Amino acid sequence: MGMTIPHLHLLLNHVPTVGGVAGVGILLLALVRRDDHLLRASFEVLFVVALATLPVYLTGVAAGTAIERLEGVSAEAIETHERAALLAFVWMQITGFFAWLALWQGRRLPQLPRATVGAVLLLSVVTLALMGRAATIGGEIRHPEILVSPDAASVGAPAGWLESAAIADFVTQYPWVWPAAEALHFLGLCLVLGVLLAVNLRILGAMKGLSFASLHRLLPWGMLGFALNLTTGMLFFIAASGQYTENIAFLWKVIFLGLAGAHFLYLTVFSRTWAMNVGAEAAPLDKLMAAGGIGAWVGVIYWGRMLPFIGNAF
Amino acid sequence: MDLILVVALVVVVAVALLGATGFWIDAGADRREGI
Amino acid sequence: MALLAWLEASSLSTWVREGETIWAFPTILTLHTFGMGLLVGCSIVISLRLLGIGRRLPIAPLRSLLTVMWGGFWLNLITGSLLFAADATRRGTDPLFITKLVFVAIGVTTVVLIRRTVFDAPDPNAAAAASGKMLGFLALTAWVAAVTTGRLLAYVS
Repeated sequence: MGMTIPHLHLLLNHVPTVGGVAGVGILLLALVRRDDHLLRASFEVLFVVALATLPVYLTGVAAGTAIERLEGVSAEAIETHERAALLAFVWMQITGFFAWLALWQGRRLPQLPRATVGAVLLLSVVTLALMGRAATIGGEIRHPEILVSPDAASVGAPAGWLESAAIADFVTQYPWVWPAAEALHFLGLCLVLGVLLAVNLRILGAMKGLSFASLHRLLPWGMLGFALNLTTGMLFFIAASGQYTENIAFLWKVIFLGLAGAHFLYLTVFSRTWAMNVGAEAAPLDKLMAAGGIGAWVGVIYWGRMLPFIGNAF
Repeated sequence: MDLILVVALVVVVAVALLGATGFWIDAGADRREGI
Repeated sequence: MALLAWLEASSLSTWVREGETIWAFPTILTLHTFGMGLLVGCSIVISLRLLGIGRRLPIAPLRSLLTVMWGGFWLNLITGSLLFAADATRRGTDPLFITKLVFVAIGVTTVVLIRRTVFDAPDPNAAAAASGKMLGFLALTAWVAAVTTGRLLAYVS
């Protein structure tokens, strides 16, 4: 491809910042104008931004390793930036979850529930602030012109449990953590696959005795499985990032995860599938989407299971 | 053996939490959809 | 014990274990993961419905998921046997592995019971409401235990 990982990170990191501003901007506009369509659109934007923020964080860690020894690069700034980025990442994912939840609830009701909308508003503003902070610190890695003083790079970075070094230490110190996380990761995959199979198989023509809307009820369980696996997956990544950032299988896994996430949004909000009643046959394009969705999860599982075998061995 | 027990405990707690969250979301949907 | 040693030394097992190709151990393990996903995943969906999630969802159509589950079961019986044979002397005497098999057996039995008492009943929805909760919960517990012990095999002994 000819693009280095640091370059890719610099490209992608515009999504949670610029995209986040756009999402929140549309959200506020929608609230002011009392426009339901615009509100739903803003939540879709926020969900996609949250999804995209995963590769942003992952490429960031890889980029950090790649450039930390270069001339004029502050290793402390990288560390401070990574800490701030992890915090912002976590809040972004929580925002994304609630944005998705609002869309799911809103698909089933005439309006999005106010409680969920309020939660997303609050969470997205906090996330934006944290993202802005992370981005500013990130700029200090290579832009001495924005540095106010030499020590500015390390300012405003509270040490705590939500940072890579602490989490990595935790995993090393307690031998039960990794096996427990793996067991949960496998259980999460079963939950996601089960729910997604049921829903997609309906679109493909099985279980016609069910309306799509009744199976739509199961989607939060799929999202919870996804959330469990994102959490445990991040634990693995933070504790042993070298095993992943240099592993081609991991790259493919993340790509398929992105596709799976987009497909999840489609299942949640798309009108034509939502309208499928008992006995209804799906449109050919929707069947293609359903097959693709199953394929995306097969890909995630395949590349995930192949991590120790393809690319570098553990 | 200790490892197995601790892992089992963590898994049970995590699954219970996940289950509780799922049931809570589902109950909310029942309420709002008037079931 | 001699049987286990013979199994492990067989040319098939040796190929699974030492064949330096992705088609041996890695592929068999991946297929085993897919089988688990199919079997446990669909079982979770049925269990959730039995436990009361989406109570408006008619349970009878979920019968199709049983077919998927049996596919996963057979896939895992085959791949599992290959994985076992490749490491027979160790796994055959491993209490953790035997525990996993016990949980799998409970899971499968419970699913068969669910098919008989709920899906085969004249009114599956009523049967689900009457006796489904216990069976749904039992199946869920058995599979969670099976997956957990299965994962632990990589870390213990």
